Amino acid sequence: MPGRLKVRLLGARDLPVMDRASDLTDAFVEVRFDGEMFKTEVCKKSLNPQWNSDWFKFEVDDEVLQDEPLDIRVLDYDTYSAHDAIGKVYIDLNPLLTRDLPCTINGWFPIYDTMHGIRGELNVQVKVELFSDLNKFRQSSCGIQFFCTAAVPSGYALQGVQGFVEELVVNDDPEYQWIDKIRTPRASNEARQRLFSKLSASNKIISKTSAWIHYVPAACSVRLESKVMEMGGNAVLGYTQNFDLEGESGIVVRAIGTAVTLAKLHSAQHSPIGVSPLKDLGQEDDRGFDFLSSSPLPQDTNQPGSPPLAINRHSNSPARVSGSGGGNNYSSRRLSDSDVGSPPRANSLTGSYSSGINIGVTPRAPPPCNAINQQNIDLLEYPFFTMRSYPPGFIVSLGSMVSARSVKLLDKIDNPEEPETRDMWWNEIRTEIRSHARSMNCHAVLGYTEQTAICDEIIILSASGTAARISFHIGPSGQVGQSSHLLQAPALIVPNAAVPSVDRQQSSEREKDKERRLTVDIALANQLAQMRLLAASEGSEKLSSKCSVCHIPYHAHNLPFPINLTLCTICKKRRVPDILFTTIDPPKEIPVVSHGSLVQARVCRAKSKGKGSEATAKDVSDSLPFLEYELHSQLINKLKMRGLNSLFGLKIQICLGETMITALATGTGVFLSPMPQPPLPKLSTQVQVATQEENRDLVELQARINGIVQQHRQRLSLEMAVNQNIHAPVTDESDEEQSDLEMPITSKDTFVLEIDDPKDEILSLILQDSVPPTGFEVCSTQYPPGIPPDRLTGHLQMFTQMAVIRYLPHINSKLEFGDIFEMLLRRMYFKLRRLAPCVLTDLNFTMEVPDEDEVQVAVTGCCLGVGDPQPQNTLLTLSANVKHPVAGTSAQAAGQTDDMMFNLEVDGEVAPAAAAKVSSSIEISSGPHLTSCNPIVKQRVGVEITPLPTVIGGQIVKYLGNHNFFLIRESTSVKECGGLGGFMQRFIGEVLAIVRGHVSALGGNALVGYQMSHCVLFSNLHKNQAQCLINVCGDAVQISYDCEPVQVDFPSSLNTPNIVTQSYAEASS
Amino acid sequence: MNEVEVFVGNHTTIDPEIYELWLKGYSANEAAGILQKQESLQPFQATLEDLLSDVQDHFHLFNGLENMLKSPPRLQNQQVYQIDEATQAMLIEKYYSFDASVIREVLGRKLTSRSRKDLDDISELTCIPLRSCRRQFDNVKRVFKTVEELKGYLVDNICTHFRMPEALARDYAAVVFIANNRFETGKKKLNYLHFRDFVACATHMITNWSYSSVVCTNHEDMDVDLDRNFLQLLRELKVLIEKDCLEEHRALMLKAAQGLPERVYMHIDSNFRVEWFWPFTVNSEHGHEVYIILTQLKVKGTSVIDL
Repeated sequence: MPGRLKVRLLGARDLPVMDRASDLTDAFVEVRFDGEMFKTEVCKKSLNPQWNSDWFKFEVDDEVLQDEPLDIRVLDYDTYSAHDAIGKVYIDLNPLLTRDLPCTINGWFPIYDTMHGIRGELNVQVKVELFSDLNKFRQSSCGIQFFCTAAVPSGYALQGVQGFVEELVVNDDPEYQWIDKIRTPRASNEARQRLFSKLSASNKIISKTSAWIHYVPAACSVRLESKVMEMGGNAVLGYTQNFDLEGESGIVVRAIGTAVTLAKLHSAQHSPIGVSPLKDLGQEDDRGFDFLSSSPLPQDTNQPGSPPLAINRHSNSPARVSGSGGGNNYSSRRLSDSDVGSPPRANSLTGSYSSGINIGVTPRAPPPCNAINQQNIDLLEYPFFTMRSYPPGFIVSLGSMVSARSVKLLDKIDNPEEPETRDMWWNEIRTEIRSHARSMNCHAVLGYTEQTAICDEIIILSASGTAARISFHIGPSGQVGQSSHLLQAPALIVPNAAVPSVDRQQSSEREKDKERRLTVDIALANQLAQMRLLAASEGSEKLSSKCSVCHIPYHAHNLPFPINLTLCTICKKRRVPDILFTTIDPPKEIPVVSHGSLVQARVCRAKSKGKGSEATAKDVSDSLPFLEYELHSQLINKLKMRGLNSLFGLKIQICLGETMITALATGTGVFLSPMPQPPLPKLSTQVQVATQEENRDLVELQARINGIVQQHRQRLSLEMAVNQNIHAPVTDESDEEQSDLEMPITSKDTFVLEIDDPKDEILSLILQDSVPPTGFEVCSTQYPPGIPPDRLTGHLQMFTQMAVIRYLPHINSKLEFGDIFEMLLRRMYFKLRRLAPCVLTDLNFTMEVPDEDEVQVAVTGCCLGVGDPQPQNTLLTLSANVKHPVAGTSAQAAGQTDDMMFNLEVDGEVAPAAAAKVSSSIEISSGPHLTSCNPIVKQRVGVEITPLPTVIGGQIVKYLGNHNFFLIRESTSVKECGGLGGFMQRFIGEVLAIVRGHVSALGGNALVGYQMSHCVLFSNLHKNQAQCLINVCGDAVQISYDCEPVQVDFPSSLNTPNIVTQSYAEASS
Repeated sequence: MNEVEVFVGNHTTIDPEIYELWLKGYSANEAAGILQKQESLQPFQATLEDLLSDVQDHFHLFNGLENMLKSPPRLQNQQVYQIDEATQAMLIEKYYSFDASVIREVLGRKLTSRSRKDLDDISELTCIPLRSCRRQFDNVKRVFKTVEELKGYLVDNICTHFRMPEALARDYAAVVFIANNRFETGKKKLNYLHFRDFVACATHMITNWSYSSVVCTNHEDMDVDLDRNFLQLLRELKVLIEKDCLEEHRALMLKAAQGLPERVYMHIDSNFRVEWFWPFTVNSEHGHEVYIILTQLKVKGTSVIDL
């Protein structure tokens, strides 16, 4: 559809001095788009020029709007010689093309120059007017939204999943073009930057081949967005772009994501009565249903003969409709079809657990929606999902991490400009991943990522994910089946607005009315309790935590890999593995009893240099299995030392350098209660202990290990004790269960640490593995496992840490490879010491080996404030009980939580409505107190940036579009700007500033799902030169902080809620 | 030590202690040494090197910020460092704060790059690191250059152009005033006077004698300069510094001080001459020299001998 782009330049500020004589600048602006160019007048002799130009109008096709960024250049007028460039601003117009968003950008954009960095700001207004589509036959891909957020965006419900989408575009690298030999570094950088911005835009566009990327053949021209359209999706989640700088053979841009159908939850959500859109609405709605379904029947009675399917889940949300069967075995899926027509409630209310088919099915046949259902998940070419967290119930059971790698030679590509070869490579890898998953009897791969490592002509392609069985009836009730219904008839939804996702079917039973009312009550309570909303919803989700997710999806007698199985400690029926590795965040329903703890394995192996590329490639591929084995054993050992049994958010990065191959695996260890506790480590030597001395060393070592283990376990049992309280009321385990959990410490089995030599490096690695100082929790998952969300008091800081370390692998230097990371972590804690107590979440390490003896590590993460557990927990337990008043657990709960200071039995007796009121009164009474006694209220300055899907303490009101920045910065005066450190610090700051500038110009105040996927520094200090490339992306959003009192980790204020609740308890009893 | 070690937050956080040390002109190593004594690194298992890296990182940040601190309104507009208002104010205030002893020495000198080179004398004299002296000198020079040509009230101009608190702006106004009128504060007989004394004098002169004073009728020039009409009137006061007048004044003063305790009286008596003979040499831009008798100084002078 055609559109009109209008641009207006208002002014600039803080421009650099371009004329040394007058210390002033004669600035003017050129605006370019689609071959057209407009200029402003020259504003003479001013560092803060005001142009107040007319609207420059460009009439173009929407494809061009999607394809090209708006190119604005600020120049200094020179009468005689060429005008000097001050800097540039590129504006991605895609956020303006989505219909429901404001079609205007207005703000101060940092003017960026690749040689000088930010040089002042430019005030620009941009408007886009799209004319309605006259040609019905032309497909327009406007409206497909891209989310970097690796979860269902808040305010949206997942209606269907179309599956994995990927795109790969190749281009010549301008840095390697012949012209680069003569053009200035600035021109080269700009050409590269422009190309990147082009390439990344082109990944989103429809069939038109841009004039710019004329290399792109027609075969590749069906781009990602049109792929999504074809699949019938309207959004891409977990969207990531990667740039492979292949050198001579070009630049490759790879994009992967998951095509989905999202439905915006009705705006009643935002109204004061409605439930506020929290980070995961599906989950919130589930809570409402938890309440309902668990009322007649305490849900965690052990279901006799329950199939491995996530039955509890179905009982949880009985009104949900599954377009298909759960994720069980194929037979039960068939059964689900035969169930069509049976009242959905009946199944779950009667709790026909034994049948294993308590799957609510719509009376209507599912509409011919494009969302895949169970049957055709097997038809999907690649059943991969790039999100990291999933709606509750999506995951039926987790298999294990799967990964595939392959080593290729870039100089062997016949046709380097064509993407086919690379496509083929990736397809091989994806197929391998798929077959790995299949061998585990899993039909899906979650948390799927792809990576490359390039050194000269060798490229390592790797992909990893988590094999799992999933269930496609995601989202709140009936939405899969109803997606079209919902989209077409929004009027239908309005009457039920307060119950946003309750099954809105006309055919629903009488009792549903009752439910609806109940849910409304809850919603009301929630509205008053908005402060704790996130907490409550997640808390109650926790309450309904199930063990089935941990159960093995494969058959016990047909193991895909050697692993020990034990009986699930919760249901005592199914088997669970003794250790679980996954690449995703812990699902909400999984019973996590410990806090998360960062577990990292680091391996570096020397690589011989100077061989031919083919021989090196062979060496590399030969050493990869050893590398992986070493990583794996380090991870397992460290995990076991900590007494944990599963690893989430595991990310493995392999880097290839001239002289070394390095590998880094980062994950978050947790303790899952269904799985057994790992046994105590014990040393054993294969070699005969020769001397007395060695023997003594061994005994000493064992003692040290025991000491460390003991320390870890003490910590663990403390955490478990706290978390058990949360889990207790609903997991409904009797005391013996709990004691079971505490038992394993005394377990008889031992886990044998085999060493050949007491000075073995494995041992030293384990012993050196440091524990974060008090006040710090560290994890690589998005939310800290085991910490109730209401203890998270706010988003304190997003940080980027970058270090360049001289490291030579073969020289037996004092510096161990692992020490690099220990040091980084230590400095991170030290840097953030003023923010403690806090949790560092979503730690993401990216490593580069750009030089022979140089390792670069960039870490991004997010620091969240944590409140004091005691009063908060009390509140949580209380509200949890309020939310499950009829669950019949109150007596037990009271028994189990008798350390709480008030009597919980009260709650069981009051009517639900009253209970809701009760909870609201708590919140009311504690809310103002909390705020009033926070003397330091953290100021919300500017734009928040977070890698998490939402900002803690705020709610996402609107998504404003996906942003992707690729920036190059070069300097030929490194010393003058404070050395490499100063240069890097400045550049990272500038990248963030540009991101913030773009976000706020769109009317946003935060960027979520932030990722830094590329950060490489090249330097030549002798020449005083440095060059750095950074690629970042994220979703611009508008956040509202109004509803939530801002809590700051201020110790003195934390006593207050305690007192308040206490007084409440007295009053009510 | 690693070659590069940076830590950048979305919100720029400033450690006030490290900032203070940076302003004082310490090197990163020195600063780390000082901090090490103050803070225990034990809880974080941190080494001195970690501390040093933290300090260095901060120093990079301050070096980056310094450009903006030189024109504080830029700090408000800039987007590179996301800093809240309170911290911005702190940064500016501390950056423009000065050591009275250094400024006292700077006062009499011309604000040229040549005198900037002589700052090591001042540094030696005041025991304040050279870098800090340079910063203070540059600050004075910058403020002076900025407001020199501006119309309107001096203090207000400084406040708006440098976003500094009013108290600090007053001090700068005094310094600018003294520098603009080239008061020879470096004279030997004025040696005993402190910076504060000059500030008090200059402030009074600004409020009473400059173009912005209440009695001044034509505000044709800025209040950096003395009211020319007033200066002409001052010529008539020249008689006052003739010996007779002074003697007379002295007698009157002593008479007035009669009621005071003996000790104080004696002190005034013996010291009167010194204090009394304190003329400023005013080299106004038109070249005529005027000796001004500062009656205000009398008050100041007596306060020295704790009345």
